[in-house]
Amino acid sequence: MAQALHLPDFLGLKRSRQDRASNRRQWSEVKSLQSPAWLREIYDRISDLKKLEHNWDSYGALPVADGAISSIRVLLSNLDIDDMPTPHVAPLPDGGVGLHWRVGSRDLEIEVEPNGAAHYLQTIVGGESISGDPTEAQNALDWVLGK
Amino acid sequence: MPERTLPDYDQPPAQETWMAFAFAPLQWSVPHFGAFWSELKAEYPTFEVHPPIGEFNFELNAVAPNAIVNVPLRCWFKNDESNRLIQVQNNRFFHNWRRPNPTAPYFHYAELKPVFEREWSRFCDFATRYDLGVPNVLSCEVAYINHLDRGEGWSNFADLSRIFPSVGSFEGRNFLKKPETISANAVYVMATNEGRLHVVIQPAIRQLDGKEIIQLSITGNCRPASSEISELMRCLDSCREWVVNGFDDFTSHDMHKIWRKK
Repeated sequence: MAQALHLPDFLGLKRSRQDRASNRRQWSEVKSLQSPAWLREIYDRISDLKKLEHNWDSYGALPVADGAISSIRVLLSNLDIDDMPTPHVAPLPDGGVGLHWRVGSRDLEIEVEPNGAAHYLQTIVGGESISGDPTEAQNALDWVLGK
Repeated sequence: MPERTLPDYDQPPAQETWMAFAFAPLQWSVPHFGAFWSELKAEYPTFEVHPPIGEFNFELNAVAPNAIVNVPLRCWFKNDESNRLIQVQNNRFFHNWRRPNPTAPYFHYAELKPVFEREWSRFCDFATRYDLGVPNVLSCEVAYINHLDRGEGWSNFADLSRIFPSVGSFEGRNFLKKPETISANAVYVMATNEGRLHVVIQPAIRQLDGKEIIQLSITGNCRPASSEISELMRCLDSCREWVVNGFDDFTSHDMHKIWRKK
């Protein structure tokens, strides 16, 4: 099932995890574009979605909204994704963006709406759905990896 | 050095700066953090607890006849505007300033240094009153963190030499093509060997807005001849002079036009 993920709550949760490695002097928060290794490639794919025009799927799909692209970039930069495999990136017909990971039989989809609101869906391949606290997207990522 | 002799920009890419001192360890314990915060709290009402910078030992022995508890910590004290931060641990003192967003006004060293001096004096005064002694400063540090947004003078890492003329293409003779990303770390010796200038180039994402940036960090460290405040301030000036001249020398004239060099 899809549940609303509110970005400010999500960011607050994430911060505590990142502090694990906070042996640093710097205050302004950045994430290295070199870890995980696929991050730069995925960023480019997300940027390329902006080139899609109206009706890109021939069923009347909307162009990908700037708000969705901006939001998914913020989301990726604030998640602890260093151990995650490369996700599949896809445009959504309503102008949103989706990310999809599959590890073994575990699926995680994160969808960002044109207005930037995010939802996620955890499923076991074969039908069983697993619900989670909508503010704990990081737990959903850990679940995909079987942590 | 007089202010006018250093390069200056109308729209510099600086996102954050800090000044810091490292000193011989004080007998600083957990209650000192709270006592010190009580003196800062009006200006820095929120705190965070972090691991200390540098090497540290964690000791916890609850069964010994005399229990040993040594939990090294670093405390952050932040102001309400989220643009000023004081970091304290038993052997370091930092004051950071950052732009709350990339379009917020730039901070000028001439305005920041007196604030740092005042906060350092407050720290020393506290240490003296709590019988910790006057800190014996071992090193002074000034750093600037610059964010070079993708699309403003560069679009991919093949453009790196357009930003930093001394940096090569990193392409191999035959086999290796253009790199996907590049990071680099260079250290320069300051004049009279009084310290080092560290230049770090790192591809990154700014978490505030998810934008791709090249983070250019330039840090000057030098060892003071004494812990007298005049000597410490002279060292900060020297570090800052190296940071500013190093930034100007390391970056291209094309980028200087974007940053509107005066």
